[in-house]
Amino acid sequence: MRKIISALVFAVLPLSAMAADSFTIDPLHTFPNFTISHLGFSTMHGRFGKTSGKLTVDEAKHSGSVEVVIDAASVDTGYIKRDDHLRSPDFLNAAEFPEITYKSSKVTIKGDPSKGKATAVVDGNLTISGVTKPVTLHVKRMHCGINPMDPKKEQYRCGFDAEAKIKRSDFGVKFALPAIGDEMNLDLEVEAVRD
Amino acid sequence: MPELLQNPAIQAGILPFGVALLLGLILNRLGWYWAGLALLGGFLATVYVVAGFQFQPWTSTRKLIALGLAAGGVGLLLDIYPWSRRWLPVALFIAAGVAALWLSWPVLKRREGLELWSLGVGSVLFSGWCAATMESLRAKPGQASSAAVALGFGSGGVVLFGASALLGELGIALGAAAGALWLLVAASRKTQLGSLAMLPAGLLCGLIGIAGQVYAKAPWYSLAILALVPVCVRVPASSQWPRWVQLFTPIILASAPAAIAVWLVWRVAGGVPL
Repeated sequence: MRKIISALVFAVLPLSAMAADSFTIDPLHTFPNFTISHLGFSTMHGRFGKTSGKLTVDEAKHSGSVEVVIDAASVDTGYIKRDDHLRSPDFLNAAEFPEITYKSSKVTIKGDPSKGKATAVVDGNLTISGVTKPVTLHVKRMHCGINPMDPKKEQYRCGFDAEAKIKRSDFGVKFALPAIGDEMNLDLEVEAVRD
Repeated sequence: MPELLQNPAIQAGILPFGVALLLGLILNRLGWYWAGLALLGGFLATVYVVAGFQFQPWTSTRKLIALGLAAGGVGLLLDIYPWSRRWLPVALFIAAGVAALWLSWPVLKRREGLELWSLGVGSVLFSGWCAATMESLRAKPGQASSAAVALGFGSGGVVLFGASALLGELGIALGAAAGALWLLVAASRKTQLGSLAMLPAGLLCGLIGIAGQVYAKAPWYSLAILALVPVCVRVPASSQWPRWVQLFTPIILASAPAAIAVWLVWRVAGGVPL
């Protein structure tokens, strides 16, 4: 009987060790960036300075989840008057809708994140100004491992770069179309620390 | 959309003025307060080109537009039915105050203490004041149209420099549409405006100002100065004066506080949002 129980324990242990890991987003190394056409003359770059959220990564099942909350008022394009305009009801309406959120519905990881050669496809829903639309993030590079800057070598973190394309008009942000472009490229640099 | 309609000067100036003038010329023949529909028609033309007529989700801008339409409906009922108007100013003040609270609720609910009370009370006071005092000018077409021009351009200018071009254009469109009515009043002594014009004019200008403060960066003191517009326009013009003096005096008096309010915000902001 003892041998059966021991065998069961040793069989279950590796499975529990391979369950999904949960991570908390590192706000100092996570920045959603965007680019958009400005009057057809140049491409304007901007980013959001405050982000929070959670990730899970299940390396055994090559899946996971992503939940990100972006402070809409933290938009930064390098010019405060433009940033004030972006926060106004003309665009992000940050006072009324203070959060931009992304929540995944399906994550498919390809490759081994611990070797730094993984990619992924994240299907989920993006919510801007109260409007929710499906958006797919394409993760170009994903790496999970011990943080070499941690003196105790205990901090395990995952990071990835992802990109997506959206149309702001899909989210009801239609002011100044088509002078200010409709299509936006999203580039996300994300790092998260294992809980 | 034709390129011409992408120009803000067309969207907020020429278009609402032209639509209001045309509607006013057509409807004025009815010889009744239907000319007030011209103001709403000009405003809605600008709404169509800058914001559209979707009402989901319920954003602050969409609430503002819907409340303007509702005010037109209430104004029409007030013109049609000879109800006692004894308590009307108080009732309009309260209704406009509730409208302002509904408009600014998403921000109010996240505030606490003095900030909550000052924002809430200020919203009620400004919106209620504008609606009640502007509606009370309904039977004086010269003063009424002058006040609507000044308050429209004033609230639009304040909010434009306060970082929201969209709300600014809506306010300026009201001023431009009211300008068409002012011309009609100048052309014919028989032109009447009524509650159908003045209630939406007052409420919309009040709500645009509040939205500019709550959701953009319009300063509170600019709204306090704008509140003087319905007061300044009431300076009586003697019937002995020449007609053109009687027409221009109210609009000049009403424009003074509006111009001061816009100038103050421009000084702080430094320019329109681009």
